[in-house]
Amino acid sequence: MKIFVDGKEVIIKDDERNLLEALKNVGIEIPNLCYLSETSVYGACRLCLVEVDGKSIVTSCNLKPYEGMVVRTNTPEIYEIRKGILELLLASHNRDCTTCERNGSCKLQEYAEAFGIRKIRFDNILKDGGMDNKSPIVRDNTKCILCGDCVRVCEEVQGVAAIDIAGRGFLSKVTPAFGHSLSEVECVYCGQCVAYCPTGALSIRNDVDKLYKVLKSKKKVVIGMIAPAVRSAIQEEFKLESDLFIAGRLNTFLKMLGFSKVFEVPFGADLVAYEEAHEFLNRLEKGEKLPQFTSCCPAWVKYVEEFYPSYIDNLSTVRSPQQAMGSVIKEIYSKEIGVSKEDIYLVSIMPCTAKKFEAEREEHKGVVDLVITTKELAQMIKASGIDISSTKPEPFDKPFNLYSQGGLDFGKTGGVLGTVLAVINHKVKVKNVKEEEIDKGIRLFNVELADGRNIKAMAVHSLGKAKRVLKDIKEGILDVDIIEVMACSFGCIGGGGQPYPNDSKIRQKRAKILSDMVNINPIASPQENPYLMELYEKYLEHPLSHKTHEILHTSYSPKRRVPEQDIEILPLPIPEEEKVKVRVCLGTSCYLKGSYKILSDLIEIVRKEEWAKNIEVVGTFCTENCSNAPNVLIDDILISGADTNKVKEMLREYVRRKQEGVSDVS
Amino acid sequence: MKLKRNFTKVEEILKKHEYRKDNLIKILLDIQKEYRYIPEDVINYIGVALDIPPAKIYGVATFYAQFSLKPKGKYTILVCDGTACHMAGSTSLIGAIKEELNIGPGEVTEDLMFSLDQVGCLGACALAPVMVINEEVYGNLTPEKVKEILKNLKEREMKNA
Amino acid sequence: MLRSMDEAIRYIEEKKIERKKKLEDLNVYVCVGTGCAAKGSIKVYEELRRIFKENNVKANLQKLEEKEERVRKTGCCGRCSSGPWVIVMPYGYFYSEVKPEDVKEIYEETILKGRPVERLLFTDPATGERVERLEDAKFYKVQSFYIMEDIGKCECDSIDDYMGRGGYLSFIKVLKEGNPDNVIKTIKDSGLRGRGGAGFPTGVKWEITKNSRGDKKFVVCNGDEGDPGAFMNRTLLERDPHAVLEGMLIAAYTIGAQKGYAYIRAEYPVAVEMFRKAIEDAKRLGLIGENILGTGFSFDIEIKEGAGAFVCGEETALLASIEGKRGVPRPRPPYPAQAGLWGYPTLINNVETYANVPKIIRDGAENYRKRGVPNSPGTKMFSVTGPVKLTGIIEVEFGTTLRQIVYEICGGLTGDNEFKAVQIGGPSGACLSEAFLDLPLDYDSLKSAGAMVGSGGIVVLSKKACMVEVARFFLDFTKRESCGKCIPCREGLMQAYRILERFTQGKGTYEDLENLEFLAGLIKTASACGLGQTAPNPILSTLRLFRDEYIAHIEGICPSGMCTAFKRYVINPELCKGCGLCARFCPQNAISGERGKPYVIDQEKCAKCGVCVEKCKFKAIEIR
Repeated sequence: MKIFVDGKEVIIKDDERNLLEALKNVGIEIPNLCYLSETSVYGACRLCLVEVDGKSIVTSCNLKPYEGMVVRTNTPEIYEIRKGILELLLASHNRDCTTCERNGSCKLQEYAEAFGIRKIRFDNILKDGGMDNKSPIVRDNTKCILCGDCVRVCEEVQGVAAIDIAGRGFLSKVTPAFGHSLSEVECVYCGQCVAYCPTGALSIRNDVDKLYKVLKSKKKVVIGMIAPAVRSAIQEEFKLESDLFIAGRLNTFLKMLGFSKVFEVPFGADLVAYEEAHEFLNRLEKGEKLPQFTSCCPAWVKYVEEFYPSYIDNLSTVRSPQQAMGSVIKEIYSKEIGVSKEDIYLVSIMPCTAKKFEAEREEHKGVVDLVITTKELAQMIKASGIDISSTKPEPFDKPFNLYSQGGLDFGKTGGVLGTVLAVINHKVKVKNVKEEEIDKGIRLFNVELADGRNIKAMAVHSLGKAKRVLKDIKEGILDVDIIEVMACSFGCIGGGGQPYPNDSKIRQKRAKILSDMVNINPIASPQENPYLMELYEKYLEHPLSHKTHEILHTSYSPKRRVPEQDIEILPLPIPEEEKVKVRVCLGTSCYLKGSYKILSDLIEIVRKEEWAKNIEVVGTFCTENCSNAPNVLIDDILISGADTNKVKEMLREYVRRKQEGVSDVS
Repeated sequence: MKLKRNFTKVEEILKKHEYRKDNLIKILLDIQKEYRYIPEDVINYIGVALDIPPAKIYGVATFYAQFSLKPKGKYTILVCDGTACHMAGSTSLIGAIKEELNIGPGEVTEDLMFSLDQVGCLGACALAPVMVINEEVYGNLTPEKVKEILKNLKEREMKNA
Repeated sequence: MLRSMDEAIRYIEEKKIERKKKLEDLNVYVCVGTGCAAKGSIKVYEELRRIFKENNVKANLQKLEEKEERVRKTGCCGRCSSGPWVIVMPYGYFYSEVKPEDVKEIYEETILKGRPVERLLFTDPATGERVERLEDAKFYKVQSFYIMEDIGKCECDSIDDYMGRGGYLSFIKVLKEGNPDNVIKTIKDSGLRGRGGAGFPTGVKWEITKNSRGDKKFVVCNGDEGDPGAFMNRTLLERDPHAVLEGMLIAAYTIGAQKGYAYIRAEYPVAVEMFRKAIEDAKRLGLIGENILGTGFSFDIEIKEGAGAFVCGEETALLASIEGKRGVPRPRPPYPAQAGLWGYPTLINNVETYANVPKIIRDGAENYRKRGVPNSPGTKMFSVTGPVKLTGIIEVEFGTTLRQIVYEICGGLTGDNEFKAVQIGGPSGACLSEAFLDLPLDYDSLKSAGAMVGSGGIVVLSKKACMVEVARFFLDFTKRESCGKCIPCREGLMQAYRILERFTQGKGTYEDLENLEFLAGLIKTASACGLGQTAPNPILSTLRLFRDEYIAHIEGICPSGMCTAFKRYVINPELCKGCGLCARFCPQNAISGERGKPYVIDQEKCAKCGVCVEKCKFKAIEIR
């Protein structure tokens, strides 16, 4: 349709969501701080005001365009209002830009500059701070402008809702429940909140100094590895066009810095896809643990552990490319170069916030020593003064510098699945693949195998969509064999560690760049990767061998979602030794399976029956044994799949033995 | 703060409101009435029962003025710390309360009977030092008088119990 | 359970006859509204019941009733300061400030002998005279009771009594006609405007909601009256809940809604209880539920309580609250009429608006328009507070002037207070100075004067009031109640408040004044909802009409003398005996001097606490 914007005729699409979006799509950016195309409209910043038909001033983010409307986006009155709003924001903002993680990439800073704000007429009242830096995601409320973007993304796009706005009025603040740290609640570290935050309120823990310390000490052999998605986005930090050789240039830079070797994470991707394809075929044959879920995405893995622990067994036991590579380097490559693994400092360069968490997880500690994000690497380059665009690209180091198209494709949605299917095709020919888009972010693939079997595969991106798929599977609506999930929409290219802005438009651009890089790669699929096959020959033997299980596989466990606490139900004021403590788990899985009934029955028993008088009943959140809910603990003994009678019997027995002084109880 | 809590009551409240998500505010109002505040573990419990993320429930609980996340005593004691009262010895009153009830400013007794807060000027400077208990103003106080007032209140509560 | 419209009509006609007889017989009405209850009216009620139970009271009614049933609960008549009040029928004696101890005398004199108890009769503050009946009081005669009908004699907790007044006949009329479009036409023709504050034409709202498409539709009653000092909705809900309920039923049928929500503040427990009983009784008689009166129309309603957030009076915030979420307003468009509760078309109207509906259906649009003025037909309930002789709730026709309200109805100002201004519309409202006393109160006139009717709260201000302090007071409220979503309101109100606070502390500057004006304009234009858009009104109107007071504050004087920061405590040397008592008690050590000679207060150190004034035996310290 035709509308008039600032005196000029503009053609916009007929079905645009609102005026702001419509003009964005034709290159006219109306100032705004709280609008996201990916979420619901919030209308909080009031910067996007426009004058319509010469009469009213309204926000353009919820204005439906109509044929012939006359819009002025930048009248003097509107300019004054915008400036006033920015001044108000800055008045209660932590204006220490020079020491802020987002110095130079902050939207508020950008507007302050554009509107020429030199003086703030209002009192500087800082918001209640409370820095939360216990996890890879750092929160600083003194820089928060309460745009609500993080909250809406976490809830609507990711379906997690670990944070929300608490309080009211001037005292509002974004926080997890009860002001806990993100590390104490159900946050999965996908970093999408960081991806959309317009200021420095949410950022990623900057670990660059750690790297420099190690480089300076010269005591370790520093090895690096770069993920696929990094090369599709890092050039944005330097305002450069896409560059097919950027990865090679990064390699050169790292060598200049003092890295001994730099490897390609896509090699690890090939390795993972190869292992996983075999794992899948194995499960398919046995008809067990299906559907299989990919496990390369640590945020997705944590999501399953927190919210759907009953599906933990469905996760592929193969580690992520980062961890698989790390394992191979520390256990196999170290021996090859004759360096003990304690002397190797392995640095992984990732687009992802959750990878920092993955490297520090109990199951993977000590394998990857440091994770650096795309942004941090860009900082290092800027600090060096080196012009990355004219740095000579050099090949990565053998033997982990060759990879297939699929390996590189891991960086975006569909990549893992595609590569796995490529391996499957090699083993059992694939006759036909039919693709169907069920919804934005959910693609279904009908794979017809030559031997007549039919595999239903899915590629899902963003956790919100994954939630939906899981729900459908649970309710029996969906029947799928293998599902690839990437927590970030459009895949790793949209990770929390990627440059800002990091919205859907940019991600699609990055996907195209990665596609170009993928398509010129001569190696089509993992088994054509000679170095990969060599690795198996020399060390790993064959997929799913004992050796690969040691080095390349892992396990997972349910995670509780609330901070540790026991809730006193019927506290007993007698000495600890005389008590028998019974803890009933009240977490979701156990609750849904009736743990509350067990609790109330137990309370009755303790009240009425003589033998039970020394029993103290306590509620607890999450014994992390969710697939065998309900769970009850008698002192330290775990009873799973409990019911009142079972617990009562065991309790009776336990109390009797305790009284008789028998020490071993089982 | 150890408090005796029986989730039976919480279940009753949830049942009364049909386990409906849109009844969250009504549920929290009943919880507030029952416990005189909204405890964290109750929020976690409700989160599980209603399938609402705790952060969202916390957001609702901190938005409305009727909810308090810190327990309030049956008797809320406000000790004025305005200039006049401070000079006249409000600190010694705080000390007396600590001796009698074993709580300091911002705290609540274990049985939730008394809570103490220090506040700015109540505007009764001529009666300094001043203490207000549930809107009843007590002036010209000494530590001994404070203890007596509290003792009387405790007795009254025992009689009614 | 009434199963058909005809059966219902017959039932209502029966109730009408019963009620007429009831009013001719001996019955005692006691107000149990919150105001009177706070003064102990429940005890009076219980005492009356006890005395009736224990004695055999003669009656003309043929129907045998429990004796104490003759003591009935009624709701507010608007004169809360004269409560608890009691009316004894059939005589109509109107007793005020009744205590449980008075019941014995009422029983012996009035109930047994039919004689009034003189000392208890209501004294009209406007005239200073005692009146026997409510209808004789001047304040009663000059008002136009329409929504507040049958004051003193309608039972707030009885559906039969409501029907005895013709209640639910409008609803049945609408059902019988079966023509929702006609109902909309009637409401439109009546010119009824939303009584919640904005004054939006109700008929148009109903029309839009009716025409919006949706599998479900809802009607919502906004009972979140949050303006400090406004209690019209509370009064209505407590005294006549069925009127509101009937309005909602008519609305639901007209727009095609199947479910309704009455959102009432948690701070109004009596109102909640009365409405709950009303719903229960209506259900029992079959006026709410499935297939109402056999018409095929089904409707269910529940009460949702607010939990202490003024912003929930805003429509979309209210909807969010009903959904169990934070009461944060949503962007409009889309409007609730198109997409409200859970995305479905939702009609939201104020308590008083609904109460007007049954009357309009009963009287017809033309007759309804006979009250009020063309742009604002009908009546409005206002709450009047401040230093006037009569405070409380009044009901007047639109077009009544401020002068009539302040001087005729409320009897003028008390004591030596002189009129300065009127604050109308609560924290969203504006101040009107003496020049506006003859301004007719209606939506359009007030708007052109830069004010608004709002929910109807009127605060009279005397010359002792400082207009800057008034602005500060309201800003303190609105900034605390801001939901915090949008920047102009969240940040702007806080900054504006700090400036006003500085003014009242004597630290205001000309730059502050400029910034204040800028902020007020910005917040008004750019805020996302009604709270922010109207919060600057007190500032803007006081700046417009009382700018000189702001200037005076900058120059170091508070003209009304209200701001303590400007007060100076000075020892009159002629009266001071030099005893030194004040110096001993001064917490700031600001007083010094020699024994026997006049002491001096150091103004820099003085905290203006006033202890010295209290202690001085010679009244030598003056406050200037």
